[in-house]
Amino acid sequence: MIEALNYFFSSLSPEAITIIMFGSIFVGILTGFPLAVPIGAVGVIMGYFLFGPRAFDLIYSRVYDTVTNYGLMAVPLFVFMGNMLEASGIAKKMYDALYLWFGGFRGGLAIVSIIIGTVMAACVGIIAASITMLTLVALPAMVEHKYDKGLATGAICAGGSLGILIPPSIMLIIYGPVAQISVGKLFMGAFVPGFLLSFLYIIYLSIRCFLQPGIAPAIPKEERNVPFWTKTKLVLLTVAPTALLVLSVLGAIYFGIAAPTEAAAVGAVVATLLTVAYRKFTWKVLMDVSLSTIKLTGMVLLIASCSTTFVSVFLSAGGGGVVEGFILGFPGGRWAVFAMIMVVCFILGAFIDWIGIIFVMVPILAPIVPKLGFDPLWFAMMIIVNLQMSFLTPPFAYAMFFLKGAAPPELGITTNDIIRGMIPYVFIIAFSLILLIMFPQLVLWLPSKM
Amino acid sequence: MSDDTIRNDDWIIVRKIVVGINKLSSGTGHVIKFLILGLILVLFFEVTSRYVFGRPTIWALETSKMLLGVIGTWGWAYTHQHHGHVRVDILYMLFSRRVQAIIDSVMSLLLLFPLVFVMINVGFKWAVRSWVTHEKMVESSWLPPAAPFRSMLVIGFTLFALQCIAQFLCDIYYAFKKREML
Repeated sequence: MIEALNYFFSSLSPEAITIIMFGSIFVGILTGFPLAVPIGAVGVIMGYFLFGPRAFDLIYSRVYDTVTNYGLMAVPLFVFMGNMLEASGIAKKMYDALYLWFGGFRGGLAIVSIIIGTVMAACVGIIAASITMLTLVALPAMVEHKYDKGLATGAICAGGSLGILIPPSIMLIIYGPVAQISVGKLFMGAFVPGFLLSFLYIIYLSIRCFLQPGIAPAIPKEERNVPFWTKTKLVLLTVAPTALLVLSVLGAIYFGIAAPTEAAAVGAVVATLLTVAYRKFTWKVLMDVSLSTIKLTGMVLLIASCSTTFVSVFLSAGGGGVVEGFILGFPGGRWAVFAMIMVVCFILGAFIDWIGIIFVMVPILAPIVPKLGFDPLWFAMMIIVNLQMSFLTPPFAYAMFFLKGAAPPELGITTNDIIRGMIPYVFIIAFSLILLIMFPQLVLWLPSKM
Repeated sequence: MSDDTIRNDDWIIVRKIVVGINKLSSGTGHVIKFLILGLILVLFFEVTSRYVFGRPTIWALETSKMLLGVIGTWGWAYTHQHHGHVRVDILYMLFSRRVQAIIDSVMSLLLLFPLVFVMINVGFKWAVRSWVTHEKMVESSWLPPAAPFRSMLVIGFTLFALQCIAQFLCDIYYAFKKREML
C-alpha cells in the first residue's frame, strides 16, 4: 500500500507536486484552522509519500532548528520590550506633550498619532503594542474634539503599523534568516523607507485637513494654554528616555557592537527600567508582560517549524525548479515578474497572515532574486514595505482587529469608519513603493555605510 | 463555573479530562513566563560580561537556546488554549459556532493529530537515542548533555497534543449538544 503510494507520488512531475502541495495548503488555510497545522501536515504527509519515514525525522529536525535558532530568539525579547513599553505609559506622556505643540493645527492630533506611531515603532517591533497604545491614548481625544472617525482611526492604523517596518521589527528579524540576509543590514535598510512613509502620512494629513477643515478642527487655544518652557520640558522629559532606549538598541546593532538578539535583551532590560522610572512597575505588570509574550512566541515558533518543514519537502521534490522556471520564463522581462510578485504579495497579504507569507514564500523566492538581477536587500525591502499594506487591507487587516479590540465601546467606532480611514494609506504605501523603485538608494544607502 | 458543573452533568468524564488539561496548560504558561525572564537575564548577563568585562561566558549561548526551546514548545499548549495560533478566518467567521466546531474536529483528526503524533514519536526516539549515546550539544566548548533538552521538547509536544485533544473534545461536544461544554 505504502510502496504503491510512494511509487505513485515519486512518479509525479515536480509541476504536479507543486500544484498538489500549494493547492492543499490553500484549501487547508481557508478552512480557518490554525495556519501552521495545514502547512506542517501537508509537508509531513507529502514528505512521507515522496521520501518515506525520513520525512518524520525532517519535521523533528526543523522544530529543533527553529526553537534553538539564535536569530528567532530576538522575537520574544522584542515582544517583551514592546509589551513592557506599553505598560510604562510612555505613550500617554508623549501624547500629552505633543498635544500642546500640535493641537492648534488642523488635523494636529492625527499628525501627533503618526509621530507617536513612528517614535514607538523605533522602540517596539510589533504592531499590536503600537496600535493598542495609540488607540487608548490618541483615539478618545480625537473623537472628543470632533475629528472625523475615519480620519482618526486611519491615522492610528497607519501610524501603528509602522511598528513592524521601522527597526527593531519582528518582521525583519524573521525575514533575515529565511532569506539569508543579515538582520542588521535589513534594519538599516528599513530606516529610510519607514521614515519616508511616516513623512508621506503627515503630508497627506496636512493637505487633507487643510482642504477639508470640518473633518479635523483645531483645538481651541484655552485648552492648550501652557508656557513655552513647560511645553518644551514636557517633550524633552518623554523624548530623552525613549531616545536613549532606541539608541542603546539600534546603535549597538548599527555599529556592529552587538547582534540583534543581544541588543534585544538589553532593550528588554532598559524598557523594564523605564517602566520602573515611570512608577508603573509592579510584580503583576512583569508577570502579565511575560505571559503575553509567550503567546506570540509560541505562535511564531510553531509556524516557523511547520513552514520550514513544508519548504524543505517542497524544495527536495524539485518544486524550486518549477517556481524558478515559471518566474524566469515569465513574459515581459524582470520588471513584469517583479510586478507580478508585488501583486501576488499584495493579494495574499489581504487574506493571509504575513508570517505565513514570509515563511513560505520568501525561502522559495530568495534564491531566484539574484538571477533576476535584483539586489536581495532592496527586494526584501520591497516585499516588507508591500506587506505594510497587508495590515491595512481588509478582510484580513491586522491593524483593524487590534484597533477594534482596544477601542473603548462608547466611542462608537464602526468597521466602516476604520476601513474608510485606512484606504488612503494603502495608496500612499503603493506610491512609496514606486519611489523606492525609482530611487533604490533610499533603501541601499544606509546599509552600505555600515 | 461551579454552577455550570452542577447543571451540565453530562459527559462527566470528558468534562473532567478537559478541565484537567486546561489547568495543566495554563499552569505551564505560568511556569514558562519565568523562563522568559530567565532568557532575558541570561542574555543580559552575557552581554554585560562580554562587552563590559571582556569575559564572555561559555554557557550562555546554549543555555539561552535551551530556554527558547522550552519556552517555544511548552508554550504551544498555552498558546493553543488561548486561541493564539493565528487563523485565516475570512470564511470561518461567516459560519455558525457549530459549523466551526465541525470544521475544527475534522481538521484535528485529519491533520493536527497525525502531525503531533509524528512529532511526539520522532521526538521520543531522538530523546531516547540521546540518553543512550550520551549525546552532547556541540555548538560551544561547554558541551552540555543534549538528552535533558531533547526530553523537554518531547514533553512540550505531549502537552501540546493534550491541549489539542481538549480542544477537540470541546468541539465534538458542541457539535453534538449545540452548547459550550465549559
